[in-house]
Amino acid sequence: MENSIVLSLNTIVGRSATLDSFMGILVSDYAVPVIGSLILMSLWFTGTEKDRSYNQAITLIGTGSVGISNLITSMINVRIDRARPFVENELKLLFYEPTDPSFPSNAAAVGFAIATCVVFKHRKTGVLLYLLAFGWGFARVYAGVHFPTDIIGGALIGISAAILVAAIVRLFLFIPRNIHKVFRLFYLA
Amino acid sequence: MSGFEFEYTLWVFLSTIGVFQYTALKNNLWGFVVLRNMPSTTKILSVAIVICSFLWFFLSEDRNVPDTAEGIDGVVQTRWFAIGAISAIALLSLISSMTNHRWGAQHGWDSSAQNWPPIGISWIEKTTFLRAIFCIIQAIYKNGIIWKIR
Repeated sequence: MENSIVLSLNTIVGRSATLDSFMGILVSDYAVPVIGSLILMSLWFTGTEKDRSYNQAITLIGTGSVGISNLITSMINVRIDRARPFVENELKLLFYEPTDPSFPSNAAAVGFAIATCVVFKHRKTGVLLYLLAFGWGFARVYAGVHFPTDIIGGALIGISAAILVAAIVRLFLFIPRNIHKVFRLFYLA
Repeated sequence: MSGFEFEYTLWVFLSTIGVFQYTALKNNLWGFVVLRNMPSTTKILSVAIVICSFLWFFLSEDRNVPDTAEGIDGVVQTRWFAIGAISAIALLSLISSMTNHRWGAQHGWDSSAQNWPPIGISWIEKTTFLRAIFCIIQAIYKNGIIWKIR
């Protein structure tokens, strides 16, 4: 069934140059991570004296959860060596041929990790980031480099990593709190 | 640093300039706003910089290149993102401190009346970053290291 989804989506590739260009940007390794990181960075400066610290915590949790989700993805990649869709099927690729295993999608993990960190405090921005993460994942299937379950697996890892990092930060709150105080002393937070 | 890495860092640098100016403006961090007296121009310019830098990066070349060729892997990407973003913020803090120098002096800290200047980024609503740093260094020199930071 997964194969048929990838194959049917791939039939659209090449029909519209505009759609392919848009998907080519969305699928890239750079667009969504940079947008997500810029939003996380802007949160550092967002808010009033009261809630700015909370926003700065989101920036730190977001950064940490991207790192953790990358780590978990790499660890699973070592154990589960799933071939990419283009290996078994003849597909029109919109992306280069990655050499690492297909499951889980690192892109989805990163995208969903950032969105999960943001959504609890900033609903609209969080929903926008979820849409971007979903779009990124969809574009990867459309481009023929991932199966849908790779994206679902990556998304679950990203969401779990964000919740895990938030829990760890809450558990060891005194560490970021003291670092934050030093940052505040030099007007960096 | 390859050509691709340079272009990526430049893209991040330019985007950060736009995002940082827009965020500073929206959150009344006037000391960070380079064109403090022209908020509408700042808003338009910052959005334009972000959009133009995105268009330039993605439309000038095909960016879907593998890490094994010219592309940038995740770790290197993080490093160049940090360098691009931090240098943009540092440069803007410096420039905005110069363009708002006189305005920042009006909202300075009276070292003869108060031991410590206000702490935290919120003070940049009333003064410049460099002036704030100068004041806190002056206060530390005068009072010693502050242990109980608010």
